[in-house]
Amino acid sequence: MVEVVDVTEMTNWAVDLIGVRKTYSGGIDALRGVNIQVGRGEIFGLLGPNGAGKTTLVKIMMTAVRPSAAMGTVLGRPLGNRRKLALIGYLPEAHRFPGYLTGLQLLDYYGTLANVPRSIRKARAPELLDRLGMGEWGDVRIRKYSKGMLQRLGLAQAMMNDPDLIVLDEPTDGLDPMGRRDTRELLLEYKRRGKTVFINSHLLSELEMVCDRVSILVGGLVARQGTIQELTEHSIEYRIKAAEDLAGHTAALAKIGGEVRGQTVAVSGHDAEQVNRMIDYLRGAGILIESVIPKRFSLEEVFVDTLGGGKGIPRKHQAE
Amino acid sequence: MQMLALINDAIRESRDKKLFWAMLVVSTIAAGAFACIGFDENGLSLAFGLVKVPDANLTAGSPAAQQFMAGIVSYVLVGTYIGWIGVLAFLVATAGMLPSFMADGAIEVVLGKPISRIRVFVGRYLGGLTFVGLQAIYFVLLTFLVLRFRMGVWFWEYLWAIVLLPLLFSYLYCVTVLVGVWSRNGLVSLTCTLLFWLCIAGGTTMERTFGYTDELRPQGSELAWAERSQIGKVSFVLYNVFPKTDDVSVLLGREMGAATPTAFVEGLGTSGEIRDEETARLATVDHELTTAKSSLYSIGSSLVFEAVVLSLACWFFVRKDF
Repeated sequence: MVEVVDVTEMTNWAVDLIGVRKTYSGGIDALRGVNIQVGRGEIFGLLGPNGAGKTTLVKIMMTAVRPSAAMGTVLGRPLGNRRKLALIGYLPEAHRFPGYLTGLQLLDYYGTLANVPRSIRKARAPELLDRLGMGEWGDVRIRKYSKGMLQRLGLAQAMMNDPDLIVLDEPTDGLDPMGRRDTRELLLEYKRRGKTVFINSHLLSELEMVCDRVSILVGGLVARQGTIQELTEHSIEYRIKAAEDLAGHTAALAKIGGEVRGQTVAVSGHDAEQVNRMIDYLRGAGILIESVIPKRFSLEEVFVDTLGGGKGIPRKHQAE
Repeated sequence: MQMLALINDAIRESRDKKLFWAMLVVSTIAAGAFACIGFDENGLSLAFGLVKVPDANLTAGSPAAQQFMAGIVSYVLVGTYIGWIGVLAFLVATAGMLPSFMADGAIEVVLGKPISRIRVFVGRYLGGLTFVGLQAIYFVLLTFLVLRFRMGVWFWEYLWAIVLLPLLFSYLYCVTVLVGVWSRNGLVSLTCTLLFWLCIAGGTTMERTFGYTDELRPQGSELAWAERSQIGKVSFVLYNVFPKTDDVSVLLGREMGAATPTAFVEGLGTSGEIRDEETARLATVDHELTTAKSSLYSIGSSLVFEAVVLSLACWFFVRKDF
């Protein structure tokens, strides 16, 4: 049964999804009540392992999949509103474009479907191809394009309507490092212009470089959500470096939770009191401390930890 | 504009297919072969006069000659070449168009645009018909000109074929679309359509056999419902519910003043004389089954079937998760 609640009041969120559920025939729960908010003008990343429901969520936003239950808005209009799609650009994962069209014909075709006026289409299509480094390929049939070129073309078609919100599913898939850098710059340029970018990607390092906030989707639920800073601010361990070898203190330090590695003792976790106890011990033993370095999580480590393969990050910013 | 863009895309896709160009070449050859037929004061002339077939009725400018040519156009060119071979080729060429449009990664881009699913469906369906429409326009105009130059008269009624040929195709294409939406597989939709076409042919044959003749009426006239056997009732339902693909060439022949199909085949249109009882019975059945029923009934009932099938396909398309 489909339950889409009409929420038409103005909102500061570009995307405001509440309780999105999708159960496919056969009883497969792809989404089990997802809540996600994306602020206007921010770059938002959606992470998750295969089968987490990321693409289903994106498809629900783009009306390709009907939710089993959902509330919320996209650009201030109820989820599922097709007119609002005129202000959204979308690049699906593993997209397929008709090989018989040239690059310019494709942009014109999709621009027409997006209700972009003819004069604007004619001007914008070559401009976008130029911007993506494909200016000379506009009149070449798409079937002759490489995978990376197809990806750039996909980005171009998603931008044909100069969208307020751009939704990209694996946008850097198939791109070489230069292409990835160009894409990053393009997305940051969109952000500077006040546009909202919603990215679904496996490439965590890519997301870490551009995203303001991320959500980690696991098993159809949001496991963690927050800014990159919030998610990675906790330390995996503290490393206390002494001026001398600590081999003689191995047993004593182990008793208070330290692991000696030559001149360094590592303290797992994020408990500052334990670190202080360690420092007190070392100073009491007359050992000179050279440095105390907290080692922070990368987004990848946060992701792995969320999936149960990490060292236990506190879930302060876990949404559910 | 969105609808036109979808249709224009289908035209581009058509032009990209080798079969599209092959059909144009074959149509040109067929029209060329048709141009070989002519008449002089002694009768029929073939291969631009190389072969002469003396016939007192089929002389240049005679009504019988015109009727003969109308029969050739309706039953051979349209009924056989386009009606069977052409439609088969069109089905092969278009069966994959909707499934490829609905393939993962392709349909999402279109659905991500501000266009309703119903418009997408209708646009794509019309795009498939456009493929056939272009072929029909080329073939009919070509043969229309050949008729003018060989017979010296304009067969304006023949231009109905530009509408009737896509119509005939659409009777079957709706099934291709329905199965295509359901299965997203071109081969499956083509196979199902051909099976359906076979069912139509079977229904028509059954109706000819069981719906018109019994011991009391060996000459053949339509039996009332109560007079029919069980199989006769089944044939009645099949024939009347299914689209009447066989009627298209008959309707065209009627518009062009050709003899009935049986009379045409039996007498090659020369006199319309009926030579034996079986042929007489078939001619009566032909008349009852096709000519006596109005064009409106034939086309209308077929379009009702098509509308129901297309509505079902559209409903599936609108409800489908991609």
